[in-house]
Amino acid sequence: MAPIPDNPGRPPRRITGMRSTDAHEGPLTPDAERDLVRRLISGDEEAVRILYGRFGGAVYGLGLRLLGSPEAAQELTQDTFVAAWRKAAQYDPARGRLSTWLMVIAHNLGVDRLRRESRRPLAFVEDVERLAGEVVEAEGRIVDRLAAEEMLAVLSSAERRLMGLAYYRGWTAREISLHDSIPLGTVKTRLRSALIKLRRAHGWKREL
Amino acid sequence: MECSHVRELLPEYALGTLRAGDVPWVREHLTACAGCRKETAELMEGVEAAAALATAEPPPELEDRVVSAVARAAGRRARRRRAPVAGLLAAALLLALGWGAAMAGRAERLGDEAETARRVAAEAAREFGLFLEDLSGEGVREAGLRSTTSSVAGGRAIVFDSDVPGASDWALVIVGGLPEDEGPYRAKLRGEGGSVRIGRLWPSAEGRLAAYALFGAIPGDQEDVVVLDGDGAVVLKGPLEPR
Repeated sequence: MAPIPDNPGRPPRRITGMRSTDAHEGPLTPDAERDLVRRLISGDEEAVRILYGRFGGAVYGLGLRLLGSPEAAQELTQDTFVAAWRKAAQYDPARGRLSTWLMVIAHNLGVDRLRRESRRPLAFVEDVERLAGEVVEAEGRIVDRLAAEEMLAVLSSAERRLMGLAYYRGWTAREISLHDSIPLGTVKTRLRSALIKLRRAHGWKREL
Repeated sequence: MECSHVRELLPEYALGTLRAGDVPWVREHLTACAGCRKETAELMEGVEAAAALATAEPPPELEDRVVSAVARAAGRRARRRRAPVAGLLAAALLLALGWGAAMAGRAERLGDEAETARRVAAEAAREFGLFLEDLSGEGVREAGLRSTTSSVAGGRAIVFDSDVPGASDWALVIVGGLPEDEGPYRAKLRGEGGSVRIGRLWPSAEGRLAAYALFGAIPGDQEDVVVLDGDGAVVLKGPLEPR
């Protein structure tokens, strides 16, 4: 699959090194995902380590972005994997990939915590575009900065901003609409187009 | 509900920012509509891509912390399976069913709103059941929360008064069906000697609001649990009863 030709000025670049996929022997097959979940339900330590090895970095990074501190990100990571163990029996492969399911758990926990504590991330995220630089410098070991840049390149600047507010700050479409004085319907439409573009770009990366 | 209306909400559903009150019926629609399920799955993959953008290297010690935390949780579950707590869980579920039946009667008159409240209360009771599995039953009191108005709202509270020196007492409240625009809602324990604040109720999942609090020691004379709206009026109330 080719990347979305939304940015004709930049040639497609091979994206490598995203921990949740090719850093660990390629994507999991549906059978492997089911097996991993079965082992998780039984409390198999090795299954937890495999799951963490694949997705720990993504969950931790999301926690950093949402909550703004390494300590809070670590707590979120721990809570996410415990919640995944608790909910493992509810996982239905027919409704989505294991990685998607796990990241939804992490995001919901993170947004709940943001709302509960009525605070915003310490690192104020005005725009998702800043992701590619900030986290690298703060952590020094982000898996692949180029991957993030390439993925973001498929979004328009308006879509990047909306994704930043919705996903990394947990704002509702209505809150964004009021804050940015954009019609609610436009916010929803842009969020949808942003998600579809990111999905396609991510799919292209996975196929490499 | 028409697909066009649901699809308008799916981006927020996938992003996890959809209004809590809308989640249950969107989820219900998805169980019956393959087209919207497909759209949701695609949007979810977009969300996963957004998550991957923030991938960062965690500190090396975090892996062992995560593994230990899951092992602790799994250990607790294994221990409680051996504990004589089946009766507690069964009681919690029976209470949930009773409350659900009462709400179902109202549902006929009040439609989807009551159905949502009933489902939320039943799910809250199931979650309480999981908590109860961890307890011996000593010092546990429970309150079914009923609306003081004609509202279809309801919920459940549980209070644990530990007799172990140094151990914390705690209270947990989960409610559903309260109108969003009349909050913020707060929960309290009430007794002859005064009231004890449990805390503000925050949106949880699927239209629920929840609050919990840890206490050094809960005063022993607490008789009921109340939920107050933004104006301080009692909107839900229930007597605490031993399990």
